[in-house]
Amino acid sequence: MATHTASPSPSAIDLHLPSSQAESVALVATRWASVPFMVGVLMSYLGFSWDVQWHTDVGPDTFFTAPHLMLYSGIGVAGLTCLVVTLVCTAAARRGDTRVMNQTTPILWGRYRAPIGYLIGGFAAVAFLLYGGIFDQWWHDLYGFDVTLISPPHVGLILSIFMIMAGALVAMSGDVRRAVRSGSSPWLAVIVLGLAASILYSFLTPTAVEAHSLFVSVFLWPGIATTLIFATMMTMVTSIARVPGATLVTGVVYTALLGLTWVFVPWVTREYASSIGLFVRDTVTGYPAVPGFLPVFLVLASLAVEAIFWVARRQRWSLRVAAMAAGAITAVIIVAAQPIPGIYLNYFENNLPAEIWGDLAPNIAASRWPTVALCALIGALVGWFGWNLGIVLRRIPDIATRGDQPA
Amino acid sequence: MRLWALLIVAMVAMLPSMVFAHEADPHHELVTVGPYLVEVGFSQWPPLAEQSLDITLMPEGGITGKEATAIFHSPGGPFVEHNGIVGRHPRMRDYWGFDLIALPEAGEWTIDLVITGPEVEGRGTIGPFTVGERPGPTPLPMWLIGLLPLVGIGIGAVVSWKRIRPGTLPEATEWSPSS
Repeated sequence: MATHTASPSPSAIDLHLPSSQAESVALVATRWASVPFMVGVLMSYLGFSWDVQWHTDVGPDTFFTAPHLMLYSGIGVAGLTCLVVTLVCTAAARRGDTRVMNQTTPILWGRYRAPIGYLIGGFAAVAFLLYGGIFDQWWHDLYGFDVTLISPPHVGLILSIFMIMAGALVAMSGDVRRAVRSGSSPWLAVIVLGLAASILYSFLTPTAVEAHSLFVSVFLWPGIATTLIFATMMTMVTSIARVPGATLVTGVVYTALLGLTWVFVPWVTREYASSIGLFVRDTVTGYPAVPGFLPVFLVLASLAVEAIFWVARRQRWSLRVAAMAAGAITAVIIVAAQPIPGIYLNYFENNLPAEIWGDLAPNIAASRWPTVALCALIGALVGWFGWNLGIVLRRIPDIATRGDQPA
Repeated sequence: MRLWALLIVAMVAMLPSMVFAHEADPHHELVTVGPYLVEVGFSQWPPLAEQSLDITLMPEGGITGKEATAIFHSPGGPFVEHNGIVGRHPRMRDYWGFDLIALPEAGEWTIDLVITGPEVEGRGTIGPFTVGERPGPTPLPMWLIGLLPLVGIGIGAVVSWKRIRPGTLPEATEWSPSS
């Protein structure tokens, strides 16, 4: 079906509608596709969190566990959404729909087109299937059950999921920008953008914190890793949306997602284990595994970032400077309020003998303020980076779209 | 047709061979830990480096009323799992056990055990036993395959950044919501 080109010939992707109606169907379908795209991305994040908790607390897996099902279904929903959007946009463009052509990017020598965020998501979903379906299964045959999150196929899987989430972020950035430029209410699009950003950065954090620990002293690394991630997120969202209040909304959405996973993931892991006759290990605490890595007080940082940009707009400061201040204040708030991710604190307190914890605790306390100062500096640089990254993300469609008709 | 064929191939490739829980222990040995005779079971024998492994421990008379700690001595030095505490094996709850661990390096290993019963504390050592070389290909190309998406992400990011040049646009310094 891929090779049908002439519009009068019947085709599975030919909607057989008059041109004007086909036009609106393609555009409306693309707008609504953000719903299943985000549902898929959210499912994959919840499935990932559940799977990590499962491996931590219970252990054994076949491919066909419920957390895998949730993760793979989520990727499937997101990937199929990208496929459908591509087919619908391609069909409309082949009929000469200029509005669709002006909002889409051609691929495969111009044969197919879709908005750039959906193309990134679609290719990443295929990469995920290759890493999960072939590389990871072969790895299991060689080494048995997973004993670590950081293995070569898992790195490929994690990067593929990251790319799908990045595709969703680009698509949702486009929705916000379109709403603002058209003068319609941007708030629904802002909430969805906040969700896309929260999912992406929450997903990235556990791997980044773990990988970072290989290079940086144990007392500094959580703060540096969370600064790099969340100072970027705060100024990036501000820069993409350009809607006063959007960053605070993102902070609230992030906190709601954190609360949901904090409660849902350990609960569903225990329930699922008991429903199939398996037991939680004696030696685990049941502490939320993925949410345990995440900063709890980000919503305070989002409030501070809003305040900085409000003052900057009123005083006509350069917003590049405001972004640096916003990055620094984000770092100060999240690192000072929570120097060590909850999961490590929980681990130290529950698993270290009292005398070792007794020696460690003062060291952690003594390194707190030097770490905050260092992270403030890093946060300023990262704030500048996030601000520019936001500009790149909102502008990617400008450089990626070409209005020519597909072959 | 080609697209459907590709999809079907992808779906078939996605179906994995099932991976089952470790089967009954292929290797047992008896270890004397003070007054306690302990049957030690390995789910893989010989164990290979980095391959997932279950080790079960069954003291004579069962585990009730006793506690155990263990320190692993690898060629590279000692380490502990779960802070040294040996819990029940989650799928064989009458046994103590380590489930889904991996011994990280090949060579001669020992495991020091301390068992505290109702009256006495016993000490003993499992091994020395030999852990074979890690199976599978050399790690570097595997890591490079795993990191491949990073190349795509990196190229995409650099090209986009260079073509957009965010620092030169008005919205770098101004709010300009409609830009």
